[in-house]
Amino acid sequence: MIAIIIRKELREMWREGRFRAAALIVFLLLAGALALGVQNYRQTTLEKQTANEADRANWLAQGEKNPHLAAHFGRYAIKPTTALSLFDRGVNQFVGVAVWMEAHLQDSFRFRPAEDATGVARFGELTAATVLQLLVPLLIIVFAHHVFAEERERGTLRQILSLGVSRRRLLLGKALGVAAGLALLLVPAVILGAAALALAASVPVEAEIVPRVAFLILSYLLYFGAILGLTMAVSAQAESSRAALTVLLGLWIAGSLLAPRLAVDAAQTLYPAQHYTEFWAQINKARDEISWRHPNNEHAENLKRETLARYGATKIEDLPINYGGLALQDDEEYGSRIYDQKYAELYATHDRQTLIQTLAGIFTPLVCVRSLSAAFAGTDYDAHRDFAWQAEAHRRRFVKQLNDDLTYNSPKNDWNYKTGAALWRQVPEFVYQPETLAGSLKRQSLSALLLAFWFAGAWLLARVAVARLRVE
Amino acid sequence: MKKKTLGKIIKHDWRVLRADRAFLLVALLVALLLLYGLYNGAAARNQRRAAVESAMQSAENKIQIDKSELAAAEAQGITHTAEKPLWVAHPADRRTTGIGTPPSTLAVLSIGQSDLQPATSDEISQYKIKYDLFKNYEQDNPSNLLIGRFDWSFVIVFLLPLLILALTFNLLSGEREDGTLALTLAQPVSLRAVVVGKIAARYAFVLTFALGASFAGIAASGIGWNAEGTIIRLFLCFVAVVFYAAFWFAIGAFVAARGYSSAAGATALAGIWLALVVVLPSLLNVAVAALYPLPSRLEITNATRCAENESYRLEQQLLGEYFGDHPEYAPPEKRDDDSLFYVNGVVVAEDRERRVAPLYENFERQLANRQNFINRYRFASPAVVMQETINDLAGTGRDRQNRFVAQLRDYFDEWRNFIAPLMFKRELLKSTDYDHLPRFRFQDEPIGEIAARVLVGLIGLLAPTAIFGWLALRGTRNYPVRE
Repeated sequence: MIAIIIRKELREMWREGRFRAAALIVFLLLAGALALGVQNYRQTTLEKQTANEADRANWLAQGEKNPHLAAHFGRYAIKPTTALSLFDRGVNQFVGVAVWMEAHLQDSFRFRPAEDATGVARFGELTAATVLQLLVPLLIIVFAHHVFAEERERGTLRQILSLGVSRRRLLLGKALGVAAGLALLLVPAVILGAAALALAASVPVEAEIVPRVAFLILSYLLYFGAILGLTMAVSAQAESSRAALTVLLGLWIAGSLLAPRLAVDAAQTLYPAQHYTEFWAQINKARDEISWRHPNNEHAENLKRETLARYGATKIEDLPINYGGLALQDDEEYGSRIYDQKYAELYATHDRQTLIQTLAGIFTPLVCVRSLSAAFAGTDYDAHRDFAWQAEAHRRRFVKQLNDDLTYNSPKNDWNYKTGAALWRQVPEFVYQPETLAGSLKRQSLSALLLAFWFAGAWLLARVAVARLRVE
Repeated sequence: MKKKTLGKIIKHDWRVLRADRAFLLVALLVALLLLYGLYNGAAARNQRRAAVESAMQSAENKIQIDKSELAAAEAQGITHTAEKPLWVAHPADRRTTGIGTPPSTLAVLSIGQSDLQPATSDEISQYKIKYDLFKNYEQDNPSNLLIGRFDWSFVIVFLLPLLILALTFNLLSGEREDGTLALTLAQPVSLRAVVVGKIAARYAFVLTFALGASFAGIAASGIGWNAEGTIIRLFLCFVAVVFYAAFWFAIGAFVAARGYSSAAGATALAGIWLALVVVLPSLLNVAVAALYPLPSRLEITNATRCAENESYRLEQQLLGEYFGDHPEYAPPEKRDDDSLFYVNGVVVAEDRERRVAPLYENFERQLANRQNFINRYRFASPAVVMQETINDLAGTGRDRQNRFVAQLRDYFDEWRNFIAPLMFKRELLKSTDYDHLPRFRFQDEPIGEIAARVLVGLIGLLAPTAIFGWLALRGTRNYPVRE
């Protein structure tokens, strides 16, 4: 019986020229977005590879100089592009692609792609993920809103129910029918996506790419399922199919357009982040306190005293090490403590903002699936911060290595000490360890839970609505 | 006879709209959203303004502190200590921080690109290059940037069309499905007059509360009415809203005249909205990126660092060449002190800047090409035209930022030309010199130029409005009055 209902729904959908046209358009947009994703992935990967090689060449070609000056010259850490970014770019347009690892400073990441884009870019990007998140729900709404209402209006509902079809079976059959229609669009799209992935990304940066794809598919299935369930519920409850369409379109506008932005507003009102000028003003002020320009510098005096005591000397000139290098490294570590504190504050604020946005998932499933999708694709803010944290750890290590060379390897107190490529080559290359899937999953547990609730809730609602379905 | 009938239709529909609670509720909602958007815009503008002005003030304070310290030293006859080599102009250079400009007063209308763009520069220095003026401003939560803010321009560009389409989707089909259309047309009134009358009533309805709420909100948001060009900009903004609303009403009328059922009409309009406001802009983006690919910023950075290595290697040679070209700056005797260290820095920086200038200029040319493409093809989507227009008038688009950066570069040259000769000549810096330090003051674009750009956009809105309006009126000829 269900199979008959499914076939009937499917046939009706397929016969509608508008459905075929709309599905084709969405498929073409998906295919186009995937093609763009592949091209973008290839291009950025090549660019970054070239840039890494050039950065290494520059580092080694520094010539003879004081190792501390080499620390100032620094290295660039360039964030690699994940393979799944061809599907979902997440926040990639709004985070920098590289960070300058230099002495004394924990810099921000530079070269956010959105800054070089035109204002039109803020309307939204065309990626496979945005097509799935925004357009497919509309497709579901437009082609399933009439499923119950129209049957009632036509009078065929009474006939079907009089045949002894249970309402539960009717709901299941119709839902599966619509789902089958969607599958005609989505299955080829998934195949295309998988092909794009395999072709473009032979050596993906991220770990566990197959499980990630599996979780992505699962997330989107839950999302589409929730939308379908809601559509069925509204279709069953509404007075007419026109009313059903109006309500559903209104919900789509509220959930896709309004809720995410209102959540951002709430997040920024409740937990405002410092303006970058204030952030750096505070850091500079704190660091200045131990600067040689600061009068009555207790910290400097203490350091001198301790060092002299440690080496049993009475004057700086008598130390067996280069005190200048020691003082520089001390300044570096003092700075690191300040950065740890200030960046921790900044990130904590951002985390609270993100929590508010995640909680908006109570009001719209779009927020849940967006968050999960970016996390599995390795293009969310957390993935970026993980890279930033590893790059910073590397920076502190190699700056210390260079300062130590000045301190321990230079002739005493010789500020004109120079060294060269022999030392530069000893500085290890930065190797990034990408995040594990388990880590992403743990962080996304709230979004996943909310999405599951949406799915269950939508179908519960649909069941209740169909149980109370008026026959005319 | 015709005018009176039209007037009657308009009045009748206005009364119907006022009496319909659903319409009033939606109208109230949109008015509230406009006010909310302005509140957000004001909060963002105020926060940014406070931060920038604080940075600028703090920079000015430091200059004054330095000046008074130097004056005190002069009073005591101190000219040089190991820690304060007062006879080189280096200390003044450390005070070139907080060079910037606060947001324009109408930034309440649209956050635009202002959440991405730096407002102050700490990098004006003769040891640096003028193409790399901004550092460490990129630390906002990217999820917020990705989703965007709920500001006045969002409500106008995205939501107002939805309201208009909601008011027009069943313009005729509603009456037809209720059965009253045939009755109405039995009166001596043409379908054309009915359409025009209904549209006019709704248009007046929408504009009244949209512009009314906007004006109230803007007045409450503390804009500087006396600031140059504010009133003209605001006026142009409201005119843009009038034109933009007219476009969407023309679209609504066009679809209504096709004779679809209400549900089909709603679907068609939703599709048009989606196409013009969501899909077309992203396709424009794709086109821009494909046609004008940007050179890699990483490549430019690496080239700059390579140039730095080169300049460092050639340092002594460069210094010799510089003194050869500027014998008036050559040291009278061989000095081995700090002064040459600083002079080195200047000469090396100038050399580096010369080497990398073509790369940066090429990059910026391509950026300009992108913007020109958008300027030409934005007319494909009225939403894009409207957003760019509002951003331009609010001062939160690319134009104002480009102007700011260009003026910063000029200031950079001015600063370098002031300080470098002092350093090379090893002139004693006097406290009174601090009064002559070049100061930066942003010059906004003359209102005439902005108005010209905006007017082009408005004409671009007018054309499709006229076309769809005409098509709508023609469609009424074949309208199926009965189901």
